[in-house]
This record gives sequence, C-alpha cells and structure tokens, in this order.
Amino acid sequence: MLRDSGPCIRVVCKLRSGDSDVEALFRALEAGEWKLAGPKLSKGEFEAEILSSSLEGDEVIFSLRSANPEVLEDFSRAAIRECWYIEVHYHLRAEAAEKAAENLGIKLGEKRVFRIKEFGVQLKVESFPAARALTISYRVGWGELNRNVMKKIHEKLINTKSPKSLLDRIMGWMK
Amino acid sequence: MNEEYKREHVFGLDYGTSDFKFGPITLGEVPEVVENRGYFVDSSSLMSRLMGVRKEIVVGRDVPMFLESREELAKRMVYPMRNGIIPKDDERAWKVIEELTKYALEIFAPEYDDFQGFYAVASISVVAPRYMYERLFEVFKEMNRGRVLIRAATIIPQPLAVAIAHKTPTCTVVESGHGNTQVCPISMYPVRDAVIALNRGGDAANILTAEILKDAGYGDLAKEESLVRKIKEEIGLLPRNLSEAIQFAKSNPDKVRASLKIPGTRVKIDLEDLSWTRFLIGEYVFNPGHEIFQSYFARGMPRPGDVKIGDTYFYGMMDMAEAVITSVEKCPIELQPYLYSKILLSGGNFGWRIPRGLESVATTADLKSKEMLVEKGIENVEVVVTGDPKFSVWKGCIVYGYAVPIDYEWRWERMEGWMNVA
Ligand SMILES: Nc1ncnc2c1ncn2[C@@H]1O[C@H](COP(=O)(O)OP(=O)(O)O)[C@@H](O)[C@H]1O
Repeated sequence: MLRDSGPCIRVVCKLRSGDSDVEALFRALEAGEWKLAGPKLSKGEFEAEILSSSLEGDEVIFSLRSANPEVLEDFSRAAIRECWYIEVHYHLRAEAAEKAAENLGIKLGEKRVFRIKEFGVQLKVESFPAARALTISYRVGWGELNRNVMKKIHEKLINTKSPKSLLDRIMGWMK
Repeated sequence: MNEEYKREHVFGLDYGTSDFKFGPITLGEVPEVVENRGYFVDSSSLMSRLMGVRKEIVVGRDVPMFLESREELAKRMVYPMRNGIIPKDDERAWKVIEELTKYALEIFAPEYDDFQGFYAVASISVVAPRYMYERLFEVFKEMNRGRVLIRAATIIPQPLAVAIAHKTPTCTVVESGHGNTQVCPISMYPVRDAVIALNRGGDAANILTAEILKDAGYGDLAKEESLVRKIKEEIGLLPRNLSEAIQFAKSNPDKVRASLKIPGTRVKIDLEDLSWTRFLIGEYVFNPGHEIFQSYFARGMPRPGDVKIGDTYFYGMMDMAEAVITSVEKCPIELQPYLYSKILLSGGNFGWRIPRGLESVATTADLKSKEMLVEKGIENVEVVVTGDPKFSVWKGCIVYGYAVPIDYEWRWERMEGWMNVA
C-alpha cells in the first residue's frame, strides 16, 4: 500500500516571545541560504515544508524531507537565531521503529513513555505497539547545537552505517 | 489545560467512505488506516457463545477473523459512511462509528497520569448535515465514560481539511474517495451552496475492473471486492487520450500487457490481448459518459445513478471537468478565476501513476483534469494532486488542531472551534 518514505523528521521552532516572530524566523532561514517558496523551503536538493504555525505565532513546525543529519543541523543552526529553543521529533514506523528502539535499549512491545538521556539531552520516547510506531523528541538550544548533539542522536536512532551507504561511499571513492 | 499540552495531543480522525484514517500528531506524516466498517457478530449463535466471543460488534484489524458466510456478511457488515451521510436513525451505523472512534483512541491514548485526553479533530463529508455534527459530538462525549480520552473536539469538512493542509485559502478542492466525490470551492470557508457531489469514486472503477476480469476469464476473482480493488490499483491506467492510448496498446502489446501475481496466493492474472482495457479503468473515473462504456452498460454493468440523500443530490454520470465547472459557476464571477487557478485533487481515487515506458499515453489525475478543463474552454487552470492524496484530509485535521487555540470555543454559526466534551 504505502511506500515507506523513510523517517519523518519534524523541527518545531519555539520563537523568543516578544522580540521575535514568524517573519523574523523566515528571514533567519533565508540568511542561512534556505530559499522560501510558498509553503516550502529549499537549499540545494534539500527541502523543508512549513507544516503549520500556531495562530498565536509563537511556534512553527517544519517537516524535513531528508533524513540527512547534516541538513537537520544546518537548518537548525539557521533557525536557532530567532528561537528560544528547537524541538526535534522523529516519527518512525515498522522496521525503522524497531531498530531505533533496539538502539535505545527499549522494547517496542509496550505502550509507554520513556525518558532517556543521550549525549546530555533528555529524549522523550513514546511507543505505540499497535501501530508499530515510535516517536522520539528532544529539545536543543545553542549549546547543544554547538556540541553536534543532533548528528549524534540521529546516528543513534537511525543506523546510518547501512551496507548501502557503505557501498555508496566506495562508489564515490572509485569516481 | 494549556496550549502546549494541546499541541502535543492533537488527534486526527478522517471518516472516509471506505477507509478510516486516524492518529495523533506524533505519527508524523502517515496515519493509521483501517476500513471504515464494523461487523455485527451473531452473539446468539451457539458457536460464538462456545468460542467466548463477548463482543456485539468488531471493528479494525480483527474484522476478517470473525467473518462468517457470504450471506451473513451482507447482513452483518456495516459501512457507515458509504456515501458520506449517515441517516439520523441508522443506529447500527452510529454504533460502528462509536466503536471505531474508541478503537482509534485507545491505540494511542498514553497510560501516564498527566494524560487528560486528546484534542480530537474529525473530518466528514462537506455534504454532511448538521445532525451528523451533533451526533458525532455525542459520540465523542461517550468516549469519556471510563477515563477521559477526548478533552475537546472539533469537526471540519473534508475539502476544508485538504485546503488547510495545503495552506491555500482560495481554491477548489476535489475530494474523490471510494464511495463518492465532492467538489467544493473554498474562499476561506467552504462555499457550501456551490458544492457538487458525485455518486461515484474508486468503487465505480472497481465495478469496471470486475467486468474486465470477467471478460478475461477471471470471473471467480471478480466477486472478491478487496481483491478487485488491489488489481485495479496495480493495473489500472489513466489515458491522456483514450483512443490514442488504445491505438498504442494495440500496436505495442508488450508494453501494455498486464500480468500480475497476487502475493500470498497462487493466483496469477494476465489480461493478454485485453490489456488495452487497462486504460478504460482510469478513463471511467473521469468520464463515465464516454461512448466506449455503452457496451458494458448494455451487458448489464450498473451505471452510477443520480441519487438524493437527505438534501443532497449526487450526480452519477457527470464528468469530472463538468463537475468542477458547474460548481465554480455557482460562485461569484469575480471569484471564479481564482478557483480555477488553484484546483487541489485529493483522495485515493486520484492516485493514478504512470508506469515506465507508458509516458506518452498514460497520465496523472492533475494533467488529465487540466486537459479536460482546457478542452471545455477554461483558461488559466492549475491543478495539483496533493502529496499522498489518501492522507491529506488527516494531515489537514492535524494542522488545524495544532493551530486553533484552546480557548477558541465551538460556534455553531461558523462551525469552528473546540467543543469541550470532557
Ligand atoms: N494508486 C491508486 N490508483 C488508483 N486508485 C487508487 C490508488 N490508491 C487508492 N485508490 C483508490 O482510492 C479509493 C480510496 O480512497 P480514499 O481517499 O481512502 O477513500 P475514502 O476516504 O472515501 O475511504 C479506493 O477506491 C482505492 O482503490
């Protein structure tokens, strides 16, 4: 039925109340070379969709079309200038969910919320066994971004060292 | 209850004519899907008592395990939203909705103590009358009998959900699901007087696919609706131009030949020299009035008929472009160009894909619609198929629930806001 489009990553930007607004956030992203076109932002081949913003204008959700941790970091670095903090959400299903659960040392078989500390960041992990789904979220600010926490967490959740990417690297080297 | 809590607990429920899509914001881009149906178990039967079946009604993934004979199936299986409208007094249909809603919420309701219910955003047909809203709110209140599953709820029409998911305040949404099609101009709010409903959706293409299977010697398979649906989705093609496509199929039989194996069974299907009929399946969705279908009607294939349900008239045979034009022309003239310049197609019935090698003759729903509209003299048309057309209503529900502040209370005059149900 549905083709697995890979993990879905969302970035929630909490704006600094009072002195920042949605427009300022877009300007910051544009300064980071993310081009704004309608409900989408793009940088090279990478895309982010503006999913929604709260009517109060204190929060914007983006959906990243790429599971590339460098893109995630790049996007967040541009956005953080106008944010109080950024919340990253991973929405994983089926095998990807099971894999991540295993990497975090938890079982997907139980409907539960887990709080797990990784790289100095508190992860909130929610499991929905009946849907074979796992949601992981965490907050970062300047400090965490500078410590490359996003990339480390990404690698922990998603096994990036798959045979395919290895092959890709070899092919890249041959070229 | 605060805004933060709500944003993390938005729950979308799209009551489609054949599929029910649901799940919380935490699911990301893809909801859970189960068939929008319920099976009434014969609880008085000796067998069900022996087996210890205590339920009166079964919904969700377990349904297939309870099915009895074919005749029983027809009597006991209820598809509450078959045409988008549930009659006021159809208690069995409402019972199914209640069970399905509960089923959906319980899969995701967290066990932790500070869970105080979801903010539920439900979506139903734009032609649904007010009593359906009232009844649905009652259903939501019922959910809280044990512990609180729903804190507050709201209901939006499916085409509006699509427009919200796409952030397009002025547009025409064509939502084509399994049982019907709704054409709805939107100018901030749905223009209700201009809605056109068609009494056909993916089900019509299934009926034609079944006829084609019969002609190809697979009459036994043609009786299994869910199998026919899968075959249709696999082999059906939407032609750019029907006669050219048929011509192409006849001179390039290998390119168009359809053969497929049903996973998990020994069934193999090969349409052989009838493979050109693959193009009829898609054409029928858009243009059932094409003369080529006459021979099927003549042989007894049922024609989608005009029906009136409640106060709504559902057209059977009106072609897709005609439906859009009729609808848009009911709107103020000044608005019309904007409505044509942003047409959003959503629903699984617009999921047609172009297989490799058939680019010159097969097309997608957006290009087909555009061509049909241009042919009828409409200029400056822009049509897009929503990404993941089956899920765009659910996605719109999530976006809506996320954005509407909790202190915005439900207002009947506008049909918007949160109704407190806990
Ligand atoms: N790729 C596809 N090509 C053609 N039809 C499709 C495709 N995927 C799904 N459908 C059809 O779409 C219909 C279901 O669409 P959906 O929007 O879920 O309906 P509803 O919401 O009314 O239940 C079914 O008739 C199904 O066969």
